[in-house]
Amino acid sequence: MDDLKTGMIFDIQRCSMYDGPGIRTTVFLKGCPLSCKWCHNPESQRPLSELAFYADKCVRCGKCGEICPDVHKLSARTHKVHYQNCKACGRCESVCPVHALKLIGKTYQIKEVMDILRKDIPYFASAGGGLTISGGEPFSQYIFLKELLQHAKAENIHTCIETSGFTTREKIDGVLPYTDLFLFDYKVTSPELHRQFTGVDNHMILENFRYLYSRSQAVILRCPIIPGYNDTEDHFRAICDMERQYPNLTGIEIMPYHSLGREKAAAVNKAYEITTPTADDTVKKQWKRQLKTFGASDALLKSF
Amino acid sequence: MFTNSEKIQHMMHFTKTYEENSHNIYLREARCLEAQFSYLMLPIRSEDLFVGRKTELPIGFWAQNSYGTVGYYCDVPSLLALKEDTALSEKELLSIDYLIQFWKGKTTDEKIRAQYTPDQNKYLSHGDFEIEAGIGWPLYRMSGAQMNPEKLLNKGICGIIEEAEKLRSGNPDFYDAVKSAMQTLQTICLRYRQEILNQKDLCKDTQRLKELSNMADNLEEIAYRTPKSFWQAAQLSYLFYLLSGTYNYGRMDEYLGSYYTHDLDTGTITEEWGLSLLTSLWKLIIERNNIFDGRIILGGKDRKNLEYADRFALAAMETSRRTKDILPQLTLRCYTGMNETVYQKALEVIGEGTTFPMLYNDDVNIPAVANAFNLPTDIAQEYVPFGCGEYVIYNKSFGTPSGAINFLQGLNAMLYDGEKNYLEECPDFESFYAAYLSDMQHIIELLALQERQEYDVCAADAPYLFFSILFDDCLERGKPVFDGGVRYLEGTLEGYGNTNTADSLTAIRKYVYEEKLITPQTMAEALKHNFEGYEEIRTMLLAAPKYGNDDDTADSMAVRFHEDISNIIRNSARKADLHSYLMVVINNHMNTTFGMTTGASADGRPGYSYMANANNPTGGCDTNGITAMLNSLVKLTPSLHAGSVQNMRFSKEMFTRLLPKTKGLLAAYFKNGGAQTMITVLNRGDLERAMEEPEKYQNLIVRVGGFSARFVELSHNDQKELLSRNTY
Repeated sequence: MDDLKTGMIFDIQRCSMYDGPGIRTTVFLKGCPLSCKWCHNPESQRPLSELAFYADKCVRCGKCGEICPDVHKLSARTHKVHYQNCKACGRCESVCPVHALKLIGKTYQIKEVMDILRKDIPYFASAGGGLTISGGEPFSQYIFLKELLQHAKAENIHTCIETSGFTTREKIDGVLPYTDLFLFDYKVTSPELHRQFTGVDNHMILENFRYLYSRSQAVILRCPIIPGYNDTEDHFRAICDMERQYPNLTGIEIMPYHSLGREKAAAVNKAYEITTPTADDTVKKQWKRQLKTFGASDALLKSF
Repeated sequence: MFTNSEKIQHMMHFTKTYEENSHNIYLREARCLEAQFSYLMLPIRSEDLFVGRKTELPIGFWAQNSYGTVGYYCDVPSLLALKEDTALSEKELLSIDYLIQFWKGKTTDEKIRAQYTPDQNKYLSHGDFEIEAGIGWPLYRMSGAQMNPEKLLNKGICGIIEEAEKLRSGNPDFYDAVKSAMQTLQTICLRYRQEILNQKDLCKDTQRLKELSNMADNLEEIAYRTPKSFWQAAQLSYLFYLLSGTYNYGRMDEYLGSYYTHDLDTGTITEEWGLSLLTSLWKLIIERNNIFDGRIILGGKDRKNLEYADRFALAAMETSRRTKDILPQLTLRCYTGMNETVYQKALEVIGEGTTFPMLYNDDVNIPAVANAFNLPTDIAQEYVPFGCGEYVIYNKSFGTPSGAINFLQGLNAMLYDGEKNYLEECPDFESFYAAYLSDMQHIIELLALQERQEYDVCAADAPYLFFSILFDDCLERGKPVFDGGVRYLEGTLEGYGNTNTADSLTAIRKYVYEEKLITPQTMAEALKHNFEGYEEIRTMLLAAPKYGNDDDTADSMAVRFHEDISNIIRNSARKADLHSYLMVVINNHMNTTFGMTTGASADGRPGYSYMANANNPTGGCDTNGITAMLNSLVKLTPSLHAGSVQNMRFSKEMFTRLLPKTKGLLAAYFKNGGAQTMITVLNRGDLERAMEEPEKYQNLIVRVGGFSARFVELSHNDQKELLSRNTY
């Protein structure tokens, strides 16, 4: 094992309550081969460091412009960021007095991550939690991913990968011995729509899912539901079919859409076409009714 | 209630009694108590199931009162206000002048102030801390009596009178006064009984008639004999507490548990009726309206009647759940192996946004108290918090907080608010820090001495009979509580601004001494100008590491300051001849009150705004999640002080869907060394909406520091401070 290996990480969240069982520390790896239209972490998609600019916070003091005039063009009323000129050096972030600029993605060594992880071991132990590696797509940094999992397992920390499933069989085999649980996305049923909404085919994803299931690996299927995109009868029926077809799944969870991705996409100069608001209780109730008619279990209905 | 003429008449009566008995402090207090209780007790109301309500007048005798004074007091502004009543006769107006003149120099407060040394007069602050800036402030009260009424319940009023008679020869004046005080209590029982009988004659409602009959019987019973039922035991203990002046109600599950369960098991009361009785008792406590006190202690691994006590604890928590008020301050001592049902109930009640019970961790606190107070474990296990959270030993120690200190004001005085800029004088951080601690030590020692003076003057002034009756050793020794009676005479000092001070020190070390990015002059100018024109400096200061993120740089400074200042205070005990003198990081809302008079600080905090509460992180500066925040908290050892408050705010979800995880979180926090937690549960956005539409959020209860409050009733500054804190 090599604890000097480095990975590109865009966030480490301690005491995460939503990324697997118990209390967890979630490490978000940068880079994703998918480009889901509803991505809630658009800043995670590119594999390298990048600049985020939160326009609503900017007070147009001009400090960033003094340091980096090629990127930051300011007038009294406007602050235009020329992302294409940005070298992601991070100097503008350090002079911004109001945290309107932030470099997304920093290099961490395994040992730095482990140091952070160790701080919460008592909480993992007490509430049954551990490490979750999320993204981006964790498999896009396979070597770092595997190394981190190995290190965590060596210290008896429960491990969990949150994945789109878009990776190769070899890589899955590589992490299997060190992974306790997969949080596996099930985004869209139709292959055609899958391509349209996420940019990739779902064939390999489903293959991988079936492979994990056949190996009796603990898997929670996570289904993001986006109003107007995949809240279709077909998809709901397919989710319920999956529940019947794969009775040994650890669980299936519905993840109702929230619109947090929109602002984050703007900050890193990415397009974000979804205009639907965050799914509210009325919408969720409607989904529950539909899922129920297709035979969803109580556990599935209570998952959101 | 009273007309102004009646008030004057009563105060004249009290004053005459005081004067006539001035030759003997024991007799004087006994007679003064008798006198003031002849008029201060208020009538019972149609829904009351317990008697015992009282009021105060601008002249009287209390261990602590609403005027912020102690012992014999005379509130001159209130008397002057009375004079504005045009209906008063010439004679009555002259009486007011007479009263003011008479009490001049005779109040306990004035006698304490008369003792001050020139240094105390010079270096301590003596004005109004709400508006004036200062570092060390004396406070005047004998607060925090946490008394065990078991002796009273076991022996009854007559039993204690007999005990006093038996011991009389040891100190006749003292025991005679004790006897007289108990007779006063007896008289009040009988007077209330008569009042009830009179009401009964007019009452038509059969249910109420039954209640009144029972209440009258109860009062007759406890006036002459020992209480036989839960209702009687609760009545007697409450009435005693009320007359004694304390606002803290001891370990109620222990002293009422066996009465309560006995009555339930024999069918004397139903569970519902038991809850009705408790609700009525809670109402009297709420009405006393001292939101900084009102502690009822439940739980604790040293309780003798565990099963009974736990059953009572469940009923008490259920009562608070239904009452949903900011009083009483229900406190639950938790420990490994405690009854799971009790803990579960506590979480359920907290989860409903009650803010009670507050959870204390015996596993950490007992050894911590043993160390801090220098006591053996079997004594330390009897620790109880009072007021906002100061620890005392139940019925064995007295530790009123007689002083408050604003550490941040002290630090600012060394930078720009005092005679010179110490940053210029001190070549390195270590010498700067040493100079700061030395300044603080000077003030702390003056305050420790003040604590001693306050006890001594109180002791010379009165025997504080109701305290002396219950506190262990006093009757046995024949000595009043503050005059050699109580076993451990302790003192506490309320510390404020701890976190901002530590974070300021971190920033000073980093920018002024290590990186030399800010010169001593610039630092002083920036702070003096409240960062106006120095916005970049403020940005830098804010960017310095902050306590509460499990960050070694910031936390190690917080730990260092915490331990150094705790030790300085703790080591002042000997000089002041106290059993202990300890810091309390308990915090009511003085973090805001003091903050309003404290200029900008080196942690980037703008001037004249709130400081962080107790030793919690500055609101919004804990950005690494709650486990990081909790890890920071437990780094500050509780074994050097007498209590702190750890406020945490959780979203509703954490106590519903995520409750198992939250349970794990709290368990790990306690296991890691967490001493206690005070939890507010609310919906995200509730506070913001409550500020916009207060009328819709009348019942939103929040934990401020060592007390709970209805959010909409808080001052705007207090509200802002609460808004700044994180909700997890």
